[in-house]
Amino acid sequence: MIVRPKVKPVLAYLALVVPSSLVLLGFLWLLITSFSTRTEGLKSLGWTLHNWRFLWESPFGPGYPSIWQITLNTLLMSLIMTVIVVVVSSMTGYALARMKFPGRKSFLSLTLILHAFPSVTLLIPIYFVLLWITKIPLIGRGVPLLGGFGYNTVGGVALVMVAFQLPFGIWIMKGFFDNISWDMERSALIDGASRFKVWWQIIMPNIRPGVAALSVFSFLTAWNAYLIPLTFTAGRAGKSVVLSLYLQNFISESVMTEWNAVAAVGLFQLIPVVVFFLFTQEALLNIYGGGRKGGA
Amino acid sequence: MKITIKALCKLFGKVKAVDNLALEIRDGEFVALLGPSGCGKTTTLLMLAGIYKPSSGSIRFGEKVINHLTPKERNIGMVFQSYALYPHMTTFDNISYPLKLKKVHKKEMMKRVQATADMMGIGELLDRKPAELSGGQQQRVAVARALVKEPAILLFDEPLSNLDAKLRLRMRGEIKRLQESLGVTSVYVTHDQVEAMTMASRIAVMNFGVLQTYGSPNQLYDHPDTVFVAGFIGAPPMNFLEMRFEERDDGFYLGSQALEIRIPDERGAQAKQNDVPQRVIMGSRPEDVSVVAERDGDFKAEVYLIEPLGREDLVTFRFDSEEIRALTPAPFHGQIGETMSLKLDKEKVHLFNPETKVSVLRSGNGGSS
Amino acid sequence: MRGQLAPYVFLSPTLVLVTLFFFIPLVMVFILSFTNLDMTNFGILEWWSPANWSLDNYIKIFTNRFFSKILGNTIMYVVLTLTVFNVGLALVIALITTHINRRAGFAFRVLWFLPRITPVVVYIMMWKALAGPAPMGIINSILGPLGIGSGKYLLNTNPWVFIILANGFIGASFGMILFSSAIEAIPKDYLMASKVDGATTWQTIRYVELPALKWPLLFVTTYQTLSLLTSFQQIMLLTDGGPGLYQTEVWALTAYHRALTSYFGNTQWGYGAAWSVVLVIIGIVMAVIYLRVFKFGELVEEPKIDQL
Repeated sequence: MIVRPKVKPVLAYLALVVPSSLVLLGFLWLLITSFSTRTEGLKSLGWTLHNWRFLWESPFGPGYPSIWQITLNTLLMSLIMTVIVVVVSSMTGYALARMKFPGRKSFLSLTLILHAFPSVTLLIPIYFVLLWITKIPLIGRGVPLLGGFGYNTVGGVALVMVAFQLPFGIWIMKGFFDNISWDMERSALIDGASRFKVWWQIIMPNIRPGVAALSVFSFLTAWNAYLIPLTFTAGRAGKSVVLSLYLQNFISESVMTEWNAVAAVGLFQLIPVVVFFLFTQEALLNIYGGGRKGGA
Repeated sequence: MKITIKALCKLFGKVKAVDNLALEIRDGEFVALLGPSGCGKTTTLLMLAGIYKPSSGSIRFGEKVINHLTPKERNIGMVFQSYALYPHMTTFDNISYPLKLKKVHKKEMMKRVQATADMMGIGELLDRKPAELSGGQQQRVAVARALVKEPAILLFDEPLSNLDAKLRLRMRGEIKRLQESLGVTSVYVTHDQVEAMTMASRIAVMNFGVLQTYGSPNQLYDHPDTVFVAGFIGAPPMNFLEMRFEERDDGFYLGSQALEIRIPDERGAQAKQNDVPQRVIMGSRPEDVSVVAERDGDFKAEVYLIEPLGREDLVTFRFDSEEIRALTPAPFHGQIGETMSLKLDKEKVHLFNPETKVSVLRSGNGGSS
Repeated sequence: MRGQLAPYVFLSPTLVLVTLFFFIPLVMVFILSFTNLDMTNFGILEWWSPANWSLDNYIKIFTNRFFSKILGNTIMYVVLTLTVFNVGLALVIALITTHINRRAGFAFRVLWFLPRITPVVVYIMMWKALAGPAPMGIINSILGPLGIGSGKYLLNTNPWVFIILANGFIGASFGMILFSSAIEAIPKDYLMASKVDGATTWQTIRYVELPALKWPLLFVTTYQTLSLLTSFQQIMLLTDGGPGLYQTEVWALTAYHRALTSYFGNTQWGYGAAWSVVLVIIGIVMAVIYLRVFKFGELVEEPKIDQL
């Protein structure tokens, strides 16, 4: 007990650092490459800002939306999705955790099943559902800024992502609601509040950690999303293109992939994530703070 | 506001939390619901509050059945054991919340909040959040919040359990005075019989969802209806001994291996009238058991345990396989293991049917309703 | 009455979204799998009419030349990633980070969380850079001077290693978080008691901490099996099933390729749906088992306020 503690931490740190190093090397490469003309491994063969020119000129020609348009798209989609996921999850999570109604049990098991259900297997028919929504006047295509909620619109992509994120969100929020004292809620009802007011004025302010965790998680999921935007936006030049797709364009469309330029775009997408993450890591790692029921 | 409860039941799944409860609470009365945890007292209170919906039966406020009214429509105030303050709101916001929901005019609201807070002695703490208040202060905020909307009925759910002993004593007095001065009909749930005895004008004792007895503190103490009530009310609790009941030519006797006592004639006659069985449970409070000189004693027992309580000593005696406790004036002159003579106050002997656990000393057709 | 309706008002947005994006698609994926709907007959074929339904797609799947290859790939990918990373490494990290200095432990967990929050395209790009051929590739540039390896593009020579690594680094963080919060939730009294009893660190882990991890372990295993079974994003971006024919093609990726890319000619929605249906069925069965295992009954504690 006297000698060992000196050795063991070293081993422990080593066991953590060695596997982590692969990821760290990757991030380091990204940083070096984006400011280099060429690299060999982690060695820069010359420093330059040239790779970042995509910030002020479109590398695919003037017909293609600028990076800022795309960033705005991504931001918009992520924000929409986050707001909807948090609000809807909170509403449903609240009802499931705190309200009595016929069908509550089935609804709870449904949520749990959906939580585990592999939603990506439904991409094919969802494509059809989005095509139908497109045909609905106004909602389908006519919404300003979002384009609408149908196929090939920011709103449509956000909606699908919301649906995929929802079972998880409901489950997380339910866990946080479960931990709120019943007396507080009863007290508010006796004070004369409706269930809606209790939820909004009394309960929600007291589950801020849950809201924070779910918001961060949803935002990052949306910001990083690739598969769903790829599947439900037509053509890469489409207006609803998001950062992940833009980046993938760089890789696949130029004959000779300019890795240095790609790295710069990648870093551009990554920086907000890392900054955001550094400020919110505590909330994020507490995503399961709402209770350990059901193993989660 | 008068409260009338009739045939009230509450089921949780298959468990009967409240079973066929009937209770009448007079306007302005302070009634305590007393019983061990899980006896249905809080469930009853929450049905009065409109948090739980009765499975059957009726609750009337005044003449109006309010079973289906929401808490909002009942005009009640409630104080919880956990205080249930809203942690994200200041004291002012907490107290004003009921008024805000009633859309009371802002000026009026400020005035009423300040007045109520002053009455509770927390007028200076209005800017603080609950986390910055002591337990006692939180309690006062909770009471103020219940009072501010001038409810017709006040409900208390073990409001003093989370306070330390000294503070509890003080708040006990304050709440009682407050209730008396405001004259609001109040229902007070507690598992602490001292609290119920000191505060309430009437006590309803419950066990396993069933009302055991309902009466004034003195009534319950002097004439308990059931073994449960007899054992629950009074500290230290009543002694119980199983004995034979015998009627002889010269009077009524209780006997066992170790002792035989004669009980007053009118007690014996009353018991006889109530079909007293051969074997009875005799109850005697520790203060009715005294240590006496050998010639005055009813029976002898060995000192087993001495617990000084300050003013008195609580002494546990053993005889045969039985135990009996006596409250004796301090200091107690005796040693552990010493055999002493004990005497029971026959005027205060209680008799219960061992089958039904009901008192056989009830007058008329029986007190427990 | 108002009171009775309130819960459904709270539930309604979820009901709409779940109907649109789970129920309808779930029914449709089954129907589509019996049809030969594709881009060419879209709008002509009445796919909803039972007259056009047949089992052809399923026969096509099981008689596919690469059927056993794809199945084998899927099993290997799921089993290896799950055991080595999503459960194994996750457990190791959780145990180590909860046994060292608190802050350092937290910092390492943050670090291990990075792969999960890195945009997938950027993340895969990093792995491609790691695997790149000499002299550009990072691993080759380190190993080359040491005389190890051929210097070729590692994604061509060892695609599976990179697929499993890339997925495992993301997957490990899920278990890591659940395991470490379960370990931290163990009452300190237990740990002290075990120390007082003279247990070594290893004995404490073995007899106090691992038993407390029983449920999280089971949860992570079932949940991650399902997500690995249906995940294909990373593989798609990393090798897209290559480098050779179907060398790294897994079941879920096949479904996607068939239905939603024109790589194989037309987008064969019906045929792709049939591939999906197999996964859907596995998903439903596992989700139901999951309900049973996790004692659903305990979760449905009755609300303590009645709806008036």
